[in-house]
Order: sequence, then C-alpha cells, then structure tokens
Amino acid sequence: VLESDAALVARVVAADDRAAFELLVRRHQSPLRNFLRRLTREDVARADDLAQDTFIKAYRALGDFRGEASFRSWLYRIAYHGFLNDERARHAHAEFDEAVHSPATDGTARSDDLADIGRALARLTLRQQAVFDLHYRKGMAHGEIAAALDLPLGTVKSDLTRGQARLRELLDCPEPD
Amino acid sequence: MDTRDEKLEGLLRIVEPPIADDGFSEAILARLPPTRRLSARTARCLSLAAAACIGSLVTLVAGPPEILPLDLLPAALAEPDGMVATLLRAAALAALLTVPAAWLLYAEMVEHVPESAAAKKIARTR
Repeated sequence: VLESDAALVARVVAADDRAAFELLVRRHQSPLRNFLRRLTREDVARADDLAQDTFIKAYRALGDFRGEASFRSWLYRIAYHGFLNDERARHAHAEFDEAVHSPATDGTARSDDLADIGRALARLTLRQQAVFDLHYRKGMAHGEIAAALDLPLGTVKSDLTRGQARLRELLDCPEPD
Repeated sequence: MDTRDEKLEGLLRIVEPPIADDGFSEAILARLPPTRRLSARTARCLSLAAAACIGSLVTLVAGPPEILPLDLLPAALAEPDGMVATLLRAAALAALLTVPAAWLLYAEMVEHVPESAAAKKIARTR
C-alpha cells in the first residue's frame, strides 16, 4: 500500500524518520527536477543543484509545515522561490521581475510540433512557464498552483489565459531567436 | 475549442519523461544534518541525571544548615586555613551532586548493554 505524503511527513516530523524522507524524495524528485530543468532552460547541473537545495530546505522546514496546502505544492513553492533567488543573483546587475522576464532561448533549430511548442513556451515569462508546467505537466488545479507559486488565484488564471494567447500567437508567427 | 487549440492543449499535456534517480536521493540524504532527536534511552539517562542533580541541590540549599552553612562562607574564605577547608567542603559537595547522577547513568547503561554474540551463543548451548 502506497503511504500518503502526509503520513510520510508525519513520520519525519515525529521521529526524524530518514527512510520516510527518502521515500518522499524518490517520489517527487523526477517531476521537480523536470520543473526546474524547464525553468533553467535545460541547464541540468543547475536544475539538479536547485532540486537538491529544495529537498534539504524542505527537510529543515518540515517542522513548520502545517499541512494547509499539499506537501507537493509546498515543495514546489520552496523550489520556485529558490529558483527565483538564484535567477536574481544571476541578474544582479539588472532589474529582475519574474512576471516579465523570460530567459534567453538556446537558438536550436527544431522543426517538429513539440520543438515548436518548446520554443514558444520558452518565450513566455518565467512565471507563466512555471504556471504552465504545474498546470499541464503536473496536473495541478489553479488553487494548488496559487499555493505553490505564492500567487493570487486570479493571477494564475490570467497567466494561463494570457500565456495561451501568446503561445497561439507565437506558433502562428514564430519570432526569430 | 477549435482543432488548433486542441492540438496545442494536447502538446502541452504530453507526459514528460521520468528522470532516473541515479544516486540523487542518496546525495540528498548524505547532505542532511545529523539526527536531531535524542534516542529515548539518551533522553531518559539525561532526565535521570538532571533529576538527581536537582534533588541533591535542593537538599543542600533547603536542607539543615549544617549541610551547607552559606552564612559562614564569607568569613571562612577570609582566612587562609578557612579557604582550604571551604575548598574541601566544596569538593565534597560536588561529589555529593555527581555521585547520584553517575550512579543513575551507570545503572541505566548496564541495563541496556546489548547482549553480545558470544553471550547469546552460550545461552543457546545451555
């Protein structure tokens, strides 16, 4: 029987059960690393460093986890804030705003639909990319995304709507890299 | 929703390939801080030792004045002979505090010494 995240968290908090924490890491490592790889434009080493830091921070803060949101959205919240801090440090010389900033594209020429959408997604702002990833790839509901990214519900919905419109626009008339 | 939107929706929902763990979890576990909780036995030992110390201290302070004549302490320290006597008395008091704590710790440890493999073998042969 698969033990729920909440039950595993309770074991870690009550008895510092490392085996329970390992199960949580194994369960969430792949989607979390995929999420961070997307945000870091497939910078695998950086994404994995951020993912490791996320789990370590989560372990240290588990005692403060109140269970108001799901463990998954709480984990993504730590990951997203860690990523934003890292991104800010990299753009320390310039004004940084995740709501308007989009990372540089890699310029790789790809022709199939998947590559086109990947390239179009990379044109969205970092926040929109995070919202899209959590909604479409992780299957999170709007409320869960709002909790994970620490955003108002309305912002999540508008990011999805505006992001979809932008994607359509980009797929119809792709911009040069 | 037109076909173009359906196609876009389908492409966005494509399941991402899982990333193999390949030592990722082990690396995280290795970076975790040392176990933060005391074992039940250690906690019990420390509680017993603390209780013994507190008990001894309360007895000394609240017990009969002959045990610890605090009012005579300044006068005793002022004289060279008195200082030696006071230091000896302090050492005796420290021993009085530590002996019960040490005894409790020792008793607790002896009670929980794991049975050695040799002892188990002997027990089986009997």
